[in-house]
Amino acid sequence: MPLSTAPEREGRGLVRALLSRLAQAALAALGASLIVWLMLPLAPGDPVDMILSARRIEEPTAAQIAELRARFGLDLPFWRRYAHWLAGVVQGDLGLSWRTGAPVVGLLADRLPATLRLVGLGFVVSLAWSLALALVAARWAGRWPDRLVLAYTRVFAAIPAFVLALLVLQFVVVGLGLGRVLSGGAGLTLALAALVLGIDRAAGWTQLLRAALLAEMARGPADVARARGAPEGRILRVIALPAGLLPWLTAAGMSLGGLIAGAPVIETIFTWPGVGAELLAALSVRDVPVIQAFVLLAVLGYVGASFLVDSLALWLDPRLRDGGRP
Amino acid sequence: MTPRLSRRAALAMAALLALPLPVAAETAPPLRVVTSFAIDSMNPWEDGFWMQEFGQAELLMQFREDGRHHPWLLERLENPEPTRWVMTLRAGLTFQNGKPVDAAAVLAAIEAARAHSASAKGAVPDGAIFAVTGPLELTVTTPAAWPELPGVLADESVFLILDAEAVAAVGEDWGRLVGAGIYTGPFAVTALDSARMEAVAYPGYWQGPPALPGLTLSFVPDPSARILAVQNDEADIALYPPLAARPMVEATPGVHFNIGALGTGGFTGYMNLRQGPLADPALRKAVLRAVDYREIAHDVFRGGLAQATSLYAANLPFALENYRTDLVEAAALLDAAGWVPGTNGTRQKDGTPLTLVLAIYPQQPDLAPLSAAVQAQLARVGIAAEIVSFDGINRALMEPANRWDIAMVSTGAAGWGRVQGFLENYLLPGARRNYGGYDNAEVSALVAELATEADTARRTAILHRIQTILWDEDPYAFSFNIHKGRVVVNDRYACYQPGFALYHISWQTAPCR
Repeated sequence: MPLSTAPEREGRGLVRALLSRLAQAALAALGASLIVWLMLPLAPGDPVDMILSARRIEEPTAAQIAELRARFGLDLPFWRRYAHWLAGVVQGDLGLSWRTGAPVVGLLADRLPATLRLVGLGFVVSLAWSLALALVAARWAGRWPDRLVLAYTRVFAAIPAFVLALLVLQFVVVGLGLGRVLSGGAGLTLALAALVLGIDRAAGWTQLLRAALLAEMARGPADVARARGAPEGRILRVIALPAGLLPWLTAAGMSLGGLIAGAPVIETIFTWPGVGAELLAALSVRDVPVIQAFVLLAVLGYVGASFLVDSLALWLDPRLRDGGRP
Repeated sequence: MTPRLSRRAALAMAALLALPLPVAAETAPPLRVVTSFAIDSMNPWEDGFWMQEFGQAELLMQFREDGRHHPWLLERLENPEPTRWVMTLRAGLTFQNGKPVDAAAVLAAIEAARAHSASAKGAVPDGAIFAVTGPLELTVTTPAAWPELPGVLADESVFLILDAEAVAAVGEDWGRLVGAGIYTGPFAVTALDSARMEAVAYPGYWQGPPALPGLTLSFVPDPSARILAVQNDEADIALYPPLAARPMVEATPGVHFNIGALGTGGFTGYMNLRQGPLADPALRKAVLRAVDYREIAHDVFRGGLAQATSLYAANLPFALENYRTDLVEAAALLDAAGWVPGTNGTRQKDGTPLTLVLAIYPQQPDLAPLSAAVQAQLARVGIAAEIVSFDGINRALMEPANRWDIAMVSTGAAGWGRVQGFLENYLLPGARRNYGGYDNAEVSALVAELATEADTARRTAILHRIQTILWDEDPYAFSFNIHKGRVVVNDRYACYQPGFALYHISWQTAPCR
């Protein structure tokens, strides 16, 4: 039997590692859904009460309450409800919204594309903005551009995204007359909402990349380049940046789930027709099937991003293929 | 507007064109309203109640600001004997699709609601029979007197008058009801999606041509965004603005914060009789007299809420005016009950300080300033108070492990003029919302009597007696305030007043002259 060559062995290692990551991702999604199913009943407020109240039935009869409890399956043991939900998920059926009675899959199909556009653009804005700021800060470390960037990151890390969104609506949309408050899905609204979402996330990522770049600029390869007369800007771009990118990309990928989770509030303020308003309405009446669908979506987004980042790291750094992580 | 909405709107418009066409009035542009809640569908049994609020649907009776029920689609409602009501419809009524609204059509709407609407099922007593007794007349017979029928007919969640045949024809494909003209109101729905609803004027409307050509209702959950939409001239009226936004709105040119008439509910206090010091009726009476109802309405909320003068809003015909603030009497009651002033200003008995826990909940932001004001007011007579916030207040208050003394809960004691539901659910022993374990035999007997008492004078006497017991003899539930409607409007609608009983848009709604 011929011995396998080094590239073949590396290829098999990469596939094995990717399959392992995929299995871990599936387990994470399953675990997260189970945790949410276990936790939701602990949330205050009876969903039946809340849904009847949303239908203006403030003083329901016992029969009305019993009917809804049976319809929602709340009279069944927890494990049966979870098993039923899981079986539906496997077949692509996320159940019916308790609030509207409409299929949750249809709701997601209607609204998810808008959310993905917002989150995708927000992610790109975050990456581009934090990369630009970190390069500026690292290039002029300790000087006024660096101090300015640091001040910016501290301020924006402390401002909640919804406050930033309201400020943009007040001063940019109303004050400057750019865009509309009631978006209706307009492109300018998408740009403004993505800017808010992106800038909010970029603060932390800028600090991370700046620190990584400064560390790389102080290591041996940069010193060697300096000794050979390379300018600082070139050292930053050619030596420090490639080495500092991996942990930054990893962190950005890992926090994509946070970006998805933060989108509903921004969507609501900008009246963006994504899943946000539906989720907030679902939360207000404990519409479990819709909440579960969103959690599943956020978990899959997080797990998917982690998987991509892991795959990228495995591809870039062969040392990680024996079970290590970046 | 999304392309999808445009297509649906076009189809709906085409459908309406085949019917008696609504012709837009030319006096004003369509009204633009932003509201917090989305109308999820055209399902009349679960989402239909919205249609009464925005001028699409109508009811047989209407609950008005004078606190009385008036005929709406009915010409008259008579109660010739306690177990029989006769309803006579106005002549010449039509649905927006042109079909006549006669007794048979109304009976079909009522029976369809009884079959499909949870709210209607719960509202109608067992054994009630609705029957057509003339071209425009229906008769309702019941085994026992049903005095709440006028309120039931005025309640938006019970019997909307709709074309039951057209509703049945769509199965559960509710989207097909867009443009079907199933209601009788001045504006017919032409488009509905998750972002907005559109409606156009129905020229055949029985009270006359609507003053507006149509309206757009946008669903905007965020209150700040709703106000900004008016400020940015994208909307004319923003519903449900928070009171906290009032100073900012009043300081902004071109927008106005309008406060409306009295509502029928308010923030109600419930005292815990199961545990803690309020088991003593004297202490409960002292609390009622220590609260400054005028200060809450006029100083704390600057007129954004109305002053409570009894358990019920002052515009209701059976409301007593029995609330008063009397710190001297409160102090005397506390002294007599053995609660003596302590060195730190807090009263005590046998070394135990008099401290009450005020329970509030985060879903009602106005409770934060209200509870702080009540805390300060109780301190004036030597009662210390702590404020605790519970998420999911209804369940938390029924949980024995939770310590609370006075729960502050937004409650409708007489929604659409109906009093029975509140009394039965909040004041009777074992009732699902009897948070504090109230058990007064006389009140229970009065509530039972009220359920089937048809005589108006006797009903008023019963309600007066209940209010007296709750203030003077065995206090338990009391009003801190009565709510008022509020809106933010632009200059064009500066004269618009918030609708009473959620009746926001009528055929006469129009810009200010």
